[in-house]
Amino acid sequence: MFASSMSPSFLPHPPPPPPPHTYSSSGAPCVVCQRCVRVWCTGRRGERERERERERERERERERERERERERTKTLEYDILPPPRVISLPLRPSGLNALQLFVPPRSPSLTCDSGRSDMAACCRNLHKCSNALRLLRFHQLQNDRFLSTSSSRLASSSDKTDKPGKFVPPSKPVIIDKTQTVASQRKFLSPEFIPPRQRTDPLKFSLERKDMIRRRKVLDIPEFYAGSILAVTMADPNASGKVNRFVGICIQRGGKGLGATFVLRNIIDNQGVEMCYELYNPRIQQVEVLKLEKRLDDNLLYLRDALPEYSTVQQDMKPIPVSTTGDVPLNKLKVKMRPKPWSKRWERPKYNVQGIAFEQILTAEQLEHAQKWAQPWLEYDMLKEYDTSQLQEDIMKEVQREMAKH
Amino acid sequence: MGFLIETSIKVQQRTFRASSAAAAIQKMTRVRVVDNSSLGNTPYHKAPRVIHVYTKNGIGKVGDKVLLAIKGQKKKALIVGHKMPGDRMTPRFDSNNVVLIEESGNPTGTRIRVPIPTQLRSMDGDYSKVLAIASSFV
Repeated sequence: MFASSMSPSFLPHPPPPPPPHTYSSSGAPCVVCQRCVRVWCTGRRGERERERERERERERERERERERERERTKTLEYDILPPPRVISLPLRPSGLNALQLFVPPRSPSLTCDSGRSDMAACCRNLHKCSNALRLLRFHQLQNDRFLSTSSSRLASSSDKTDKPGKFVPPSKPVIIDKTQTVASQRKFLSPEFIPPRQRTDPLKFSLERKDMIRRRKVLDIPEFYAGSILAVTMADPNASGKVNRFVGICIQRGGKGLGATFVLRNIIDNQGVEMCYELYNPRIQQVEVLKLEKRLDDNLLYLRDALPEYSTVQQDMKPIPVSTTGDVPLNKLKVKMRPKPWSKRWERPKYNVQGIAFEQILTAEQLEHAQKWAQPWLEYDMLKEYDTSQLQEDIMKEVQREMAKH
Repeated sequence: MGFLIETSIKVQQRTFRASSAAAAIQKMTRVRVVDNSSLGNTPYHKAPRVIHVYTKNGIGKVGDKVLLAIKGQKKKALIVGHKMPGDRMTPRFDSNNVVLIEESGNPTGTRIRVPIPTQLRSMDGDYSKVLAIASSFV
């Protein structure tokens, strides 16, 4: 790493050491830890406070555990409908199995380690439990496989009047395995598969498509649009760890065939950075969609002239799950712009920008003046017509067929 | 007269370029100094401008040295990012960034807060000291 601890010889001054805890005879709070209001502060009072806070946290955790235990071990009466037991099984066996988790830790039965208190042993197991709980919740989000056991729910309604205490065995669990159908829910053909209208031989495009499918079998390139937030990891011989991860909002998808590109934009340390990635470049190791959404335009180059908050994406952003069926969510955000001059005159009809809040920065006069550059005859120009619907269907079928082969 | 009389529309459309096509950093470009040196950060009534580019053609890309005019004095600098789109898989910045440098190649400042492209590491020339003071890479 280049943030070296030893200062190179050409640097003029080493960084100053951190200020020590101050002594105060007047009782003013210590400069460093702000809490010590004593004659002198050795800094340890802050530590004691922190220790106490940690203890309180542990107490609270233990309380919560005890509450949960009490709820679980309540005696069930069979004429009252018990709540359905939902057991979620994680996909990968590496995660904790939920059935393991529901065995509550019993504090008195824990073995005492020599020289350590019961309390400490409880705490350690509680930490494991809370970690396990967190893991479980995480897995629940990631792997949608639910086991629902509604015990005695169906039978008890009929038996209510006759014999209140009759035991009815629980019904068979219903396993809804959603993981298999995730990929095939929405039909999406990446725009670079559709060839442009050219006089070249269709053989060229079909050969390219073959190569594109071969690459897609190795690397999963997900569905995304301009406006989605992506994270791309690529192999970089110059980067530390040989891997370079960039997170950003996709502003443009260009190119057809193997040279298809997409541009990600982000603002890092108050500096706007854009990276143009080639989809089929072998250096790309992972393309992850953090937030899948569409915007009002299919190219967001105007974000360069918009306020920086619209282009900023957190580097450590977590992926937001989106439903796999139905339409991709459309974000009808109208972006606020910086004052003019802009890099391009976005108000002109040639760019056909829907996603800018023009009325906040331009007058009606200026907008009207921009309409002078309108070319209303373009939409009726038959020579510019290119109907890709049939082509799209054929290519989609071909691609799905080839992808399903292996 | 043998000259063709052009119509008024054609005269309006006739345009010509006074300067060459935009191509990254060249003479008279205003640049942004991104290190924490005093020369680069103290305000002045004129922005730092490039007065010479040390390449065969007069066009400076990432990793090229240029001569700047800052606060009435000449200073060498290294280009660490420009607005012009470059190769695929390389970053494009929203401003033309430059790091002040001495004749020996040592940077004048002590820290660079702005992200630096990683391709500087594999470029010819001793940029190790500039890379050492960089805080983040893109």
